[in-house]
Amino acid sequence: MKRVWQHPPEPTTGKRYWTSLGQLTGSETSKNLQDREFQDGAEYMKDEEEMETSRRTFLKLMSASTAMAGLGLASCRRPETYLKPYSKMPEWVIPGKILYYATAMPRAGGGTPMVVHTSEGRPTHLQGNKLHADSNGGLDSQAQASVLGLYDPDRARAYSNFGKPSTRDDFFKFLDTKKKELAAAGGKGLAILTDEIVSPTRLRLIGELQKKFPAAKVHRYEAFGPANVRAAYTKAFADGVMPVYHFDKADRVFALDSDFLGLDRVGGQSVGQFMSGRKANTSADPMNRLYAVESNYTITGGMADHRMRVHASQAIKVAAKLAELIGAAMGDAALTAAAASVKTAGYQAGRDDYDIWMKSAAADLVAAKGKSIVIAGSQQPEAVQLLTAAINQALGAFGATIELKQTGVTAAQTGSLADLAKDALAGTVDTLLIVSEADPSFQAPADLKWPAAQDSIKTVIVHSTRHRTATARKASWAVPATHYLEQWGDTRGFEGTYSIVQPMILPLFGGVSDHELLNALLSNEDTPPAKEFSMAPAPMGTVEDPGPGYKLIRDTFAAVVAGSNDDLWNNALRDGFVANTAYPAAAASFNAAPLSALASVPDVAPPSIAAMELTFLPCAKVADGRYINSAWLQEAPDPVSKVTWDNAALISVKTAKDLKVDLQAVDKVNVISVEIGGVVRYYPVIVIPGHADYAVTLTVGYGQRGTGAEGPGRVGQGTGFDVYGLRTSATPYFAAGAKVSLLPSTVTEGLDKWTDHKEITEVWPLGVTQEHHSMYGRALVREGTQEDWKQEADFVMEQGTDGNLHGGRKEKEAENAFTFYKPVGAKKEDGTREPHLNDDLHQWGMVIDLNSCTGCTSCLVACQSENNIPVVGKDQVIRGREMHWIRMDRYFATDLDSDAAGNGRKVENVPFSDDNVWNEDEMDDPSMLVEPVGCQHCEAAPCETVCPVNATVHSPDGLNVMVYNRCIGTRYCANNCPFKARRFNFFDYNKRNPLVEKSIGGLKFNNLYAGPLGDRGDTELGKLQKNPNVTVRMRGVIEKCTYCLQRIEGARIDARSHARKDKSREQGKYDETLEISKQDLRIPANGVKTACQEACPAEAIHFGNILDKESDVVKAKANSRNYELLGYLSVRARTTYLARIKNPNPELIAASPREAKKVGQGSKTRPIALNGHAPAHH
Amino acid sequence: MAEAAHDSHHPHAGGPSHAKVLLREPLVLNNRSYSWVTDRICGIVENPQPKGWWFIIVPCVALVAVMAFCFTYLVSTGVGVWGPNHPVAWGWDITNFVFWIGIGHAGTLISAILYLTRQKWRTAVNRAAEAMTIFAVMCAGLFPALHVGRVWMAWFLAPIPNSNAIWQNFKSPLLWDVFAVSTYFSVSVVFWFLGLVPDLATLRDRCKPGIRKIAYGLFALGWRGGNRQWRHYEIAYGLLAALSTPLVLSVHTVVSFDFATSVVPGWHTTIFPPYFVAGAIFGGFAMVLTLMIPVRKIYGLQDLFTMKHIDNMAKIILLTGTIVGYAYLMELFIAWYSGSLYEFDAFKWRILFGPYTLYYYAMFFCNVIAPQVFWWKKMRENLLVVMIVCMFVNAGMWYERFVIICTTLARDALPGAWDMYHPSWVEIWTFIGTFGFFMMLFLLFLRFLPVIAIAEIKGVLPEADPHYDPSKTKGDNIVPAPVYEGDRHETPAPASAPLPSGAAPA
Repeated sequence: MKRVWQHPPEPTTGKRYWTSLGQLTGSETSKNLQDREFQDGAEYMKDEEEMETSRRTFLKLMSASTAMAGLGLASCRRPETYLKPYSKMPEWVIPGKILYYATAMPRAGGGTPMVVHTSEGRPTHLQGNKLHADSNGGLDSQAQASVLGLYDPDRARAYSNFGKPSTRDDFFKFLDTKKKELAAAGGKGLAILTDEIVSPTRLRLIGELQKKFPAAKVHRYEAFGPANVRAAYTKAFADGVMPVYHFDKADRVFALDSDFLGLDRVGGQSVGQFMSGRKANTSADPMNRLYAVESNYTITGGMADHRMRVHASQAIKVAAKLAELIGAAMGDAALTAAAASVKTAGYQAGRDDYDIWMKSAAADLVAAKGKSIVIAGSQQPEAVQLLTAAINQALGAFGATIELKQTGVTAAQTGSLADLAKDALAGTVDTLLIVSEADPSFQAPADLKWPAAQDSIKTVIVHSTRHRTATARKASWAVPATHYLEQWGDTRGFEGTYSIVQPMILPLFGGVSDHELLNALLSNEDTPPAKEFSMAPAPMGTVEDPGPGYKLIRDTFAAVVAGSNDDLWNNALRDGFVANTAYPAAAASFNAAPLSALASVPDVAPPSIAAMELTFLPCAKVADGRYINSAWLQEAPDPVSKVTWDNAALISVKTAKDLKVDLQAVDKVNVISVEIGGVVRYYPVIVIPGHADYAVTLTVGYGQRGTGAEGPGRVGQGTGFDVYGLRTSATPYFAAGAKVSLLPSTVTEGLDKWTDHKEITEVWPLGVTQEHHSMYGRALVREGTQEDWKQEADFVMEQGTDGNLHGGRKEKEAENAFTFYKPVGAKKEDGTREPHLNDDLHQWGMVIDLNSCTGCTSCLVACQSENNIPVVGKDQVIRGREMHWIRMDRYFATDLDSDAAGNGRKVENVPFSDDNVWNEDEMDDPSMLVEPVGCQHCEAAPCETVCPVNATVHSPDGLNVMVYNRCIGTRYCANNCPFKARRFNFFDYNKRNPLVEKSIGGLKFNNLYAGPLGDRGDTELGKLQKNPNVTVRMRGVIEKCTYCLQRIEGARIDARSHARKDKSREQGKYDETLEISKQDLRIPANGVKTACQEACPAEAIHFGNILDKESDVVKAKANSRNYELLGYLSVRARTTYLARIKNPNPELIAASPREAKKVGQGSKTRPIALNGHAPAHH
Repeated sequence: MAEAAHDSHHPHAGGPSHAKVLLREPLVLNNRSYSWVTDRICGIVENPQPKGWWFIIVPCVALVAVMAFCFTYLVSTGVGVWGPNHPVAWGWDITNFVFWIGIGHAGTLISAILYLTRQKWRTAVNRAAEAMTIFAVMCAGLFPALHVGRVWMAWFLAPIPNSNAIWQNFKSPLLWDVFAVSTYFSVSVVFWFLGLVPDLATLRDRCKPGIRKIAYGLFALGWRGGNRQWRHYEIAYGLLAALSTPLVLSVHTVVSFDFATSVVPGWHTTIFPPYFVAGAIFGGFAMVLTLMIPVRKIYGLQDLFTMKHIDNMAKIILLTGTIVGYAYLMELFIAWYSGSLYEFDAFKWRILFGPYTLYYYAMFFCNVIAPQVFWWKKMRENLLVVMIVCMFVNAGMWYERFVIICTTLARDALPGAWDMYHPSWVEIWTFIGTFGFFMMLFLLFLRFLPVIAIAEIKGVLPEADPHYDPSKTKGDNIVPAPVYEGDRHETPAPASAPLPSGAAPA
């Protein structure tokens, strides 16, 4: 009120304006009046006398009452957050509307083309790019989760010089000086270490660098890469030749220790191609057949029609046996000779029917020559690769099912990590530039003495997006790299199609791309200083100035694409790739000469209890360790072992028994000690039925040291155990002669050398999401052989509870759907329907084809990304509280009632026992079945009737919807859900970081348990990934699969708003008055895809409108393999399953009782008995 | 004489006169007078409490504090501080709810059904049993109210018109529960309070002026004991008894619907309503005995709460325990007979090789085997045995609820989703805390309200008979106390019975 208004000084010239004479004369009264902001009396309301309260009193009262209301009620209110509208709307950005951009994820061997969902400029979700020749639209879980990596708060954010924070300008000033020194020396002392990423721009820049610095050496390292395959194909064909598999053209596939459907990435769409040969619409449809020979149980082995357990070290003997049989059958003398030169004497793979098995498989491959593939795992040594190449050559696979492509990525161009270490120790490396996500200090084979090698290099520059790895912590310079979603780049698919990597967002933490860094080294000019942006920490590119990365890619584009122009470039950006840019076919023909080297391969004896075999594999979660800080991947259960947040040693049942491992253990498992070459490591152990005996499978990547960003990141710290320490360059993938024993007591000694754990106890807690491995005779996953299907079209309805019903499918389904009440959703006499299913246009349904599903868990991560599903941490997983809306049930299976077995061995089904007894044969070599289970959207949903507050209800289009706002969390629905598809948010998982340990008064708490005293609040980064169209659920409510309701609603809105336009288009002109019928508002067939469906590389999930006869889901439901899970409950689930079909070799099952038993042809009940543990008795 | 009283059920064991042989065993022993009854019962309230009272209530209050802390922690932090997980979404919370609700059954059964069927022996028991009912229902109510994920939204359960125009789901048994339990609680409170009115007036009249007198006077609602008042009182009491009777059966029936109407194998069974009601009466009577046997001893109420009462209640425990045992066996039979693999498995794992088999055996022993000792009169007369069996029953009924809820949920339809449930310390202490809460309320009840219905028990004295002739009560017609009572206290002269804790009679 008393504020004095400072009037601007009066102009001394020009016109003068005055309001009163007082002002004109400059009287004191007038001046006082003018200086006040409000004139006298302004604080009083007009006609104050007539009012009961003056303005002042009113304000006083108001403020007092507001204060009191605040005092009394403030604590009861929800925390308030504000929406900030754009003051200037960017073009194309509509809140809640997803924009799609094509890009690609550069990866070893071949990039993954993808379409990025962006929302208000933030990439939120990824899907495969179906247009690309090397993709069918599916995406594996690691690619799917890479979007979270963009927002990883622990990833490289700043430049550092010997651990001290530095700046971009300092680094480039250093680099500018350095490159001049190096140029002067002709590049002497310069070494560059890269990964196996196939980027034409990177190859071009490296090529130019090699020209500029002729003495510089380029090395390539990938812990698990195609190096062995490349070496073998270089010898057998020519340098740079690589096989590109066409599983869709193969009728018979023989996978020799190859997880080509899982982690052994040999093609962009191996899974899709393979599954296209198994799309069994009718029993008459031809199906491919898969033989799998492997040590560990992989998802490829799970899909196999015939699987044999063979140690990784013995795969060469199986290859030789196969070569021998095929060589004889095909009359291929070179192959026969090569096979004979391999030492296989007496090898039987530990089974009596080995010869029959191999003979049948070989005969089958020969019969399908020209339509068969024999594939050896990338980790198999050169000898095995050569042998399989020779077999494929004999079978006429090259040119038919396997294309030989000249990739131009030659072995000759580069050295290995071993060469680099040798050079470094010899003191010939002065400057090392590491452009790779690999972490040699952690990953390098122990015998390379990498840490010493790195120490002997004067300048080590590490360029990576990762947290500060062991390598980066010791490096001279750590340079933050851009994530692929924030940079310009390019990559090729496995078959060579050229893809553009375009940025979705400005770099969140600055950083440079690999191309920019290499270019800076290459350029003769000094790097310009960083430009200051007001919003972004460092510039990357704008529309006006797309940055140096853009120009580099444009240059490569011009070289790769003939007649390159802006239109072609824009098309490439739109599509994400350039068509017809695949690698050229290799001209070389097969050279059998290198096969002679097979004779010199030493014979490795099969392992025994005293000298076990170790197999090192990449992890389904963290790969070679690079995804250690990805919470989604950490929590996605391993497809087979179902372990989260850790790696475990996988062993067979027999080995477990011999080692006296507690087979009953659930949450706390035994720990084994593994010693090889004097190195000792300890691992918690998981028993995997079907694993090779006396072999231990260890997945790498875990056990990275350090805390937070100065280590594997806050998510990854303290997870798992180191495996790399056991690897040497001689035994990178498997090693013989390991001493394995049960850890008798807690270990504290010597741990500081390799782990951050202070002690390792004899039992170790493991977060395993599935504790029971048997279906307990329940026919949940139904399967039959192709023969079964031919015999009985509706064989699925003869299994399980449905088998007890009378009549054919129709009668059985009617009986299952029987109700005393009026059938829900049935049309009434007046033609209307029950209100909750009265949408005549849309009724949603889903079909999951178990014949295609491998169990890879890609759907699970896609769902997590799309639906803002929180992670809960290891402790909560142990407590059984994981939040995944779709879970992947995995069962092991042996057939109980197959008469075909006839081997006189009866599986004892002891009445009243928890499980069938542990019959050696059943336990040792079962088959594996997987089944994704989410909300089944029952028409008569048991969850809906029991909710007291109507929080879960049915929508008119047949969805079981969850009203989060209404839910009070009685959890009754979760109890009554027969599928256990409902998830309860036990803590504020979205708000309270479960990975933080909170110390309160000296007591350590998991942050979740610290309650109101714990840390709250998601990081801003974490929020950026959230899908704005999906509610971020709070604690205390149930959540579950919605069939991606947000996508359905989006499509419905589109259908409504486009109806007139679409109809006009049909008529040829826009017509305002056009009659729009109700039918015009229907979403086009297959117009909505759920996130899981979109992500599935096997195309196992069909979703759509079951009222639309054109939709895939209707066709899938018409398949006679269709059955409802727990159909006997009469819940009328909208999600149904298609039974698994096996295509066994009839000759093999006729000849081998054991194999016949395993296949279980003619089995009706398929009560499958196998359990990892008997329950603990309390 | 002594012989006759020793076993009044055997007419041939009788005494000299035929008339005496037919005499019923008296409900109040030692020929106590009206004034003795009043003095004795009011004395508990009017005199300082024995040391034992303090020894119990102090830890109980501490337990209430623990319970309050546990609930605060639960609500402030999330249901995750308890043990439930994804297949087992209910653990000790609903187990305890059903347990306490079950205990709350005996009270209204005694006060309403036994009243309507003119079982006069109820008079000595009903007040304490009703109090126990109310306190047990209060304990029970805590669990469903606080086990929900968003307690602050629990008012959604109440049919309050709101701007969303969303009503409750009247198909949900959980909502029926809300109505059933709240109705049961409110009717029980009203019934209890109505019965208390004449006794409150007695206390009021015996008080010195002061706060107590005002308080008792306030709640006595101006009771003067006039003829009209008694007439209205009797009508109201009878009506409320009739209203409560169906509630006895409905509450636990509705609670059982929580399970019976579900599709979970092991829950989905029609036997649940009668089996739950029988179990509730069973557990409720056991709890009444558990509380009243010490109370009668400590406060010297043996003449009012006699061995006859204990005998009757032990027989009811035997009967209902056997019904419960029949239900257990019938469940197993039906699981087998149904031919349903899922149902059979559920029960197979309950009894053999399942994760919680020991709980099943504990339940079976406590609820079915242990009460069988009550076939023997000697055992019913041995208060130590009765106490031990009642303790078994109390524990057994908790096990029963745990077996039904947790073993079933841990293994239902899809083995891929199975997981074990383990309670957390918060859950365990919450449950222990509710015992403290229950005991605290009961001890306060003993302290402030007449534990036995004074007015009612006078009605079963011989003096209440209109044909009672005081002159005949002398000599041979004095009915002495039965001698079979093991723990019988000294029988003093009726007029000068010393009060416990040495207090002078008022």
